[in-house]
Amino acid sequence: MPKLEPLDPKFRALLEAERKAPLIGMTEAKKRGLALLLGSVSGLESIDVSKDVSSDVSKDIAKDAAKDTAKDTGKDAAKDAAKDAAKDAAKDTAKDAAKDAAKDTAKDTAKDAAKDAAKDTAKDAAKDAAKDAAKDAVQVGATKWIAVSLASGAVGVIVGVAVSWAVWKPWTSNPKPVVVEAVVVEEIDVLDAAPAEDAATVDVFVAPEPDRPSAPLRARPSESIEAETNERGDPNRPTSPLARERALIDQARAALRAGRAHDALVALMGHEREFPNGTLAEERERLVVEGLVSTGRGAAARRRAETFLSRYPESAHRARIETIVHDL
Amino acid sequence: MRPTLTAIYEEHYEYVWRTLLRLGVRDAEDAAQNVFLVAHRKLSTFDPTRPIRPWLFGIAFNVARETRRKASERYERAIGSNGDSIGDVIGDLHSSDASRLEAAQLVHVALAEVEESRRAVFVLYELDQEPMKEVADALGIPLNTAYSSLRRARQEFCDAVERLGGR
Repeated sequence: MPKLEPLDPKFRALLEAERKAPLIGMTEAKKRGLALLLGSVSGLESIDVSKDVSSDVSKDIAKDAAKDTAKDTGKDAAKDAAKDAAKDAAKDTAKDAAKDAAKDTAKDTAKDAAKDAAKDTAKDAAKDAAKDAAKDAVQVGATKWIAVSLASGAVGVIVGVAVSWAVWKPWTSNPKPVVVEAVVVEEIDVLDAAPAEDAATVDVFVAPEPDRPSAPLRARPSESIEAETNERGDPNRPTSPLARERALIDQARAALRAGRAHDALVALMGHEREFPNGTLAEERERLVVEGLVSTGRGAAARRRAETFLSRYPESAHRARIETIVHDL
Repeated sequence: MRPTLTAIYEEHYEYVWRTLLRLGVRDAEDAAQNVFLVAHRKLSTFDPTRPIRPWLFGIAFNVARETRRKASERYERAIGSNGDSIGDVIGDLHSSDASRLEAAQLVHVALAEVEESRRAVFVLYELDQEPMKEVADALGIPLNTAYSSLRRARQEFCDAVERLGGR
């Protein structure tokens, strides 16, 4: 047996700390994950998974599911969300571009098609769609829905599979909606953008948001794994990165309100770690400043606030942060 | 008796989650789902007389490799560019949780600098504290190779920690 010298104590201590580190969000994820998993498992079996390589299987299944979902959501979106504006635009603008896009690799061209199609319709349709969506949520999530509804509506109704899939996928895995800039109800921070060609990897199992109650799009349970899974799982499972961001921020705010400022900071640290430049980064910063003040760390709060305000001078949280720091 | 998927899930979810973080996955929730999906499919190949964690580790390793390509870039950007992390700021709250989180963060960033297959050896041995024999079995490598991999992994890890300004 080869001899192994002991690890330097300082590294041992570091590893020991890692072993005991809390896992932010784990318990909640575990709770909502089991039903989802069992749903996925039966979904998988019904789809005939015979390959042995996990990634390939996942990829294929995910592709199929995504295609199906996209097909449906495209149809539904056209009917329900984008309505007339989207239909007209889809006929005129999207038809040709989208057909071509579908023929090609679709991934790249779909973005352009969606953009072009959505640009024309976005203004009108956004007004209508936003009215309804805004009732349910003033959050960015709603914005995404509008954007995607438009994209799917304009393009998906005609092209269906390929294009909708390409438009849909980059959006589900990243908070970078292709069309959002044309709709802009609320600014969405564009980050975490992965190239579209990475679309078909295992993480496609991120269930799409169609299970949201306020969503205008709905995947049909019989048509996709995701949908089937969600039918059986927790309909409120935060599947998108934004929803997970939201969960962490909400957790922090609840802790702050309950006087557990330190817990709040730990949650916020988790958010910063996973979503340093996330959509809710500004909200996080405001809560960090509040948390620091609550834990008696005024100087740190002030530094944090100054950094934040110089970075986001136009932030909606500016006034609140200035008030907090001013009161120190 | 072979354990059921639900039983494995209940007992080892936390382990899988932690392992995925160690292997550079940032979105542990979705990756964990994938791990258990694969575990479900491969369950018939699992030998119930063997410890299950190294087996799960093998699955997590593959899932992590799939998801890491995108995520690791994001993570490095996050760590590298954000200046004062909240961890820096609240570090002297003397909270054990906060300092452990910081430690974990440092460990994970340093692990990202260890070559992939050696990282597997390192994580299994140093963090999971599996016996070297298990490590070698789980990864399907000769015992001697596991030892030499561990030595190199340690070197890479410790260098990375020093370079990152660890304690």
